[in-house]
Amino acid sequence: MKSKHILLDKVFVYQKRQPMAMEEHVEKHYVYDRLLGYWRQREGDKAAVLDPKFSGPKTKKADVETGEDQKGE
Amino acid sequence: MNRIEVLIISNKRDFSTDYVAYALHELNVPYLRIDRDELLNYSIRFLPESEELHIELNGERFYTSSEILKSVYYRAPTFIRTLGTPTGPEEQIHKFQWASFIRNLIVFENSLWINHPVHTYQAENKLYQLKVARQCGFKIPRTEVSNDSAISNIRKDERYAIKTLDPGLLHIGDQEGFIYTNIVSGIELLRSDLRLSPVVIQELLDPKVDIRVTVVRDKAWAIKILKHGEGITGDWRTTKRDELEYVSVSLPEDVIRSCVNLVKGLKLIFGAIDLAIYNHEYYFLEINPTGEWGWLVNTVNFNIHEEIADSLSEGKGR
Repeated sequence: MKSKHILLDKVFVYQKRQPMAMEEHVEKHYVYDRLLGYWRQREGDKAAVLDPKFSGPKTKKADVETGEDQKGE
Repeated sequence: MNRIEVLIISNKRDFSTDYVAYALHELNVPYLRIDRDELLNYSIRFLPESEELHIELNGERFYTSSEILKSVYYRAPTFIRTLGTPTGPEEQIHKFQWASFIRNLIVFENSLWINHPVHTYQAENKLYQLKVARQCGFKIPRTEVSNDSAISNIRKDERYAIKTLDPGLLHIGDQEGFIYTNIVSGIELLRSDLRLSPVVIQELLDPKVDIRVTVVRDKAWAIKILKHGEGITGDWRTTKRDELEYVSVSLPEDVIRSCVNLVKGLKLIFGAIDLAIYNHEYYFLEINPTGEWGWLVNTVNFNIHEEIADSLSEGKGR
């Protein structure tokens, strides 16, 4: 007797991330400037991603398991 | 009225795009970022005859045209994999008509695209990647794709790396699932009913060291991915984040040349390439035309964003 498809057998299941949770954290310390096109520090136009305290991308492993680059959407 | 020479298509939560936007700002290049998750904030008007695009955002007016627009930084999917159905007619109209408008920006064919969605669409196909990688001189692991173990050359006493053809993202009720590369035995494969879908079955490279090469035009940056100073068996993405080490590494000239040629061969400008060192040889695993790279600026100080911004500011004329 064959077992179920091997890909289904190997699925890593996890709770969906709430995208708003990340944004709330970022919004507390930074503002998104639509005209500049990046999150910046509340004072000046320096990008948040350049702030050592900013919890930006630290790994290819995104906070969501989307195959790296949010291909899903 | 603000002239736009560089158009960025992204979303508000894409911090890698922030690096590029900031670098363009520092270069004093006139750019505009369109966030696909904030489209209600933009007023647009496109004139097909003159190929002019007018945009209003936060009370500011912007314009560009085929003559003016040097480049497009395209951080948006080409395959739509969302399984969820939009809730109502309004959401469906909003989502699908805007998506089409964004796709239609390919009318700006004189501009440099990083990357062009048509080429990304082609390059995302893993079997096509393997073909072009071989043409560029890469060794690839012995590979077959099958939905029937009875007709495939699987040996019960061997171990294999199995992976999906398309990113294995699943919606399972309120949860999500992801299928990484898995190591399985031949017996497991022979016992599995594969009829439901083809699966990529590859020679297992073990022990190996994973290498990530990021290419922008002729430039390449590479890191080794380690755990406690050693290569990682199987899919390194399953390793706990704080156990991962990213170490900048110099690659042999011929490997760099193959990486650059692969990106060119796929008609891309940017590519994130996964290689593995196995038995002292470099093997090609896959390339991601929309791969993530912001983490490399953060962790190993690669100036990838500056190279992307320079390319965008120069356009096709470089």
